[in-house]
Amino acid sequence: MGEVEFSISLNVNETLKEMVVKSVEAERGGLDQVWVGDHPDQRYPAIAAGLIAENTKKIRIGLGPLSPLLHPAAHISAMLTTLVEAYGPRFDLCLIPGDRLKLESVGIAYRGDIPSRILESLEAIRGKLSKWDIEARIWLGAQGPKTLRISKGFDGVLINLSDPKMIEAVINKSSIKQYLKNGDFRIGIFSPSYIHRRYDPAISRSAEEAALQVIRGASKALLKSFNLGEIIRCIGEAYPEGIPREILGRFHVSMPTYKLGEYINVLRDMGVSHFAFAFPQNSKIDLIGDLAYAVKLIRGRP
Amino acid sequence: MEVKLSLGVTTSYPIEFGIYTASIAERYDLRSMWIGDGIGDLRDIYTYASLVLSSSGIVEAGICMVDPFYYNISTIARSSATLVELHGERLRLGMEAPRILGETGVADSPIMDELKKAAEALRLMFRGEAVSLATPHFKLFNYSLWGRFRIPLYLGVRCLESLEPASEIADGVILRGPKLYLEKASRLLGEARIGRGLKVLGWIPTAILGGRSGIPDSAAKVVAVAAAETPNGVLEASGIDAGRVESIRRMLLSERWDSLADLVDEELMEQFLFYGSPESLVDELLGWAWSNGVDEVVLGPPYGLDPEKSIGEAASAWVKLSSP
Repeated sequence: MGEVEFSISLNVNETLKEMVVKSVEAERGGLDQVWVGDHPDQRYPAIAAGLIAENTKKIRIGLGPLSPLLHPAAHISAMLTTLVEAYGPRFDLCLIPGDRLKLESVGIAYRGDIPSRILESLEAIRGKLSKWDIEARIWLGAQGPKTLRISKGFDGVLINLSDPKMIEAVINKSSIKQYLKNGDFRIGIFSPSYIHRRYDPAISRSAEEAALQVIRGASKALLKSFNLGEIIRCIGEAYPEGIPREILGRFHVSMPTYKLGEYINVLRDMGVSHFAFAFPQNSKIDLIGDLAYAVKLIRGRP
Repeated sequence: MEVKLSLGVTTSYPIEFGIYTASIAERYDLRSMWIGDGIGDLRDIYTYASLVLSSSGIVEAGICMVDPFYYNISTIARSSATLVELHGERLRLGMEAPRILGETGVADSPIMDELKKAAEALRLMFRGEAVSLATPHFKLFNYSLWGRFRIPLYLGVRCLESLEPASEIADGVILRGPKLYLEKASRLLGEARIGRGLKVLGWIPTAILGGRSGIPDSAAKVVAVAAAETPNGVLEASGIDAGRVESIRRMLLSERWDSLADLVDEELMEQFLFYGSPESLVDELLGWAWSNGVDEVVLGPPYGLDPEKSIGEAASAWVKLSSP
């Protein structure tokens, strides 16, 4: 298993300037990577990624998670190729099925065998990248067993979960653990996060709202396997107040900086080596600083 | 009438070459360049344009040959908006219908209607409005961007029948094709656009050469692609054998680039490529532009045996010959 990597996911609904400032802070704080997400109505991620590369020196930059249902494979590989040509091999890609409602709002038919469509796209992207000798890690963003089944051709999977028990079950039930033996394959997690030095209830509430979004988009098979199917149905359109905090707590990572090490160690033992911290961790510069501080504690360099 | 010169590159050229071209545009005070999307090329046009705009102080960059039947329309909208957010109001957006119509069997006319609807939707999005659209090719539900963006819209037009619908919606039209078509189309537009402020732009494959014998393979490839992208009706009206061009299309679609140059004969070369010494090339282009009311000429690839040198020579000749 490779060295543990820590990354922060940036919000593309922020201005490009804000994204750059946060990326510079992430690099200064010693984080390994930023992820630039992709939403059909927000800033174009490859331009944002290029701007971040222009303003930083070595931090890795991930394109995505993005949906190959929205972009032709040749276009996705073109984004990576252009960035690598301009800034060197600092870029990753993460493919996900994508948000059904958002995709349908721009005319993308979200039907058929989605994992197979992702796999076809991966193969086409790999073909283009190898033709031009472009190095880039390609991750699969997944949660449920259907999507995880296609992990083999990827360089790693980013599991959109936070709860160690759920992550463990997902890892053990799928075949991804065996890929770890193949050398460079990584298992990562991607979760709403609030790692803090000073607790702020408003941000905690934002983290719970982000957790609710994960629940709403969660794989039904996965929820059923954790006896959450019934609870999720009851939630309907409710706000976090109506949902037991214990359940929301299982869908995001919220803890003081000094506790993060314990959480990381538990997941490391399961083979997890990439930790992507998403909204609201990215919502303020100070919070990126808090995450960087927690990472330094873990690495023994506070 | 002043004819503006812009320099054109396509995404098949290295980024470094695009940046170099921008520096030449800046050196000769040309104030603009266009980047053509070689769909299926290894580079992303939006990121390419951003890199070019970052590297230079040229006033404007256009992205063109952007195909809304290839990219989701939301991708075109937000990438353009992102470019404006980052670089200011320096972007022109040029869209075009699918490139190889003969092979797809799609007629140019309904495609033009769709393209027009896409352009209308983009205009509304750039104005900050929420857009819903349902056509055979485009579907949007209450889609909006995060702000308002001033982005002039150009449409690429490759047959005479499409000139009118394009000129009704666009700020400008981009003409590409055989010389006879360029001549007819620009003349027709010249008559139709009086008082409408419509800009007419010609994207011209150019090569600085001593004579016909020195035409490099790169020129043959550019001509092959240009011919393949021309509708059969336009080819036939120019006396070009559409059957031969169909073979080129098949080769292009199967990515057999190596044998492409063999199919380009002298007739095709003469129809699609403007070549000669810097002075004679510029003289020919200026003559065409002046006599047909063309506002802007884009010098496009292949430029010549030494593209970097040729671009500079052509720009220098333009500045000299177009000055009063």
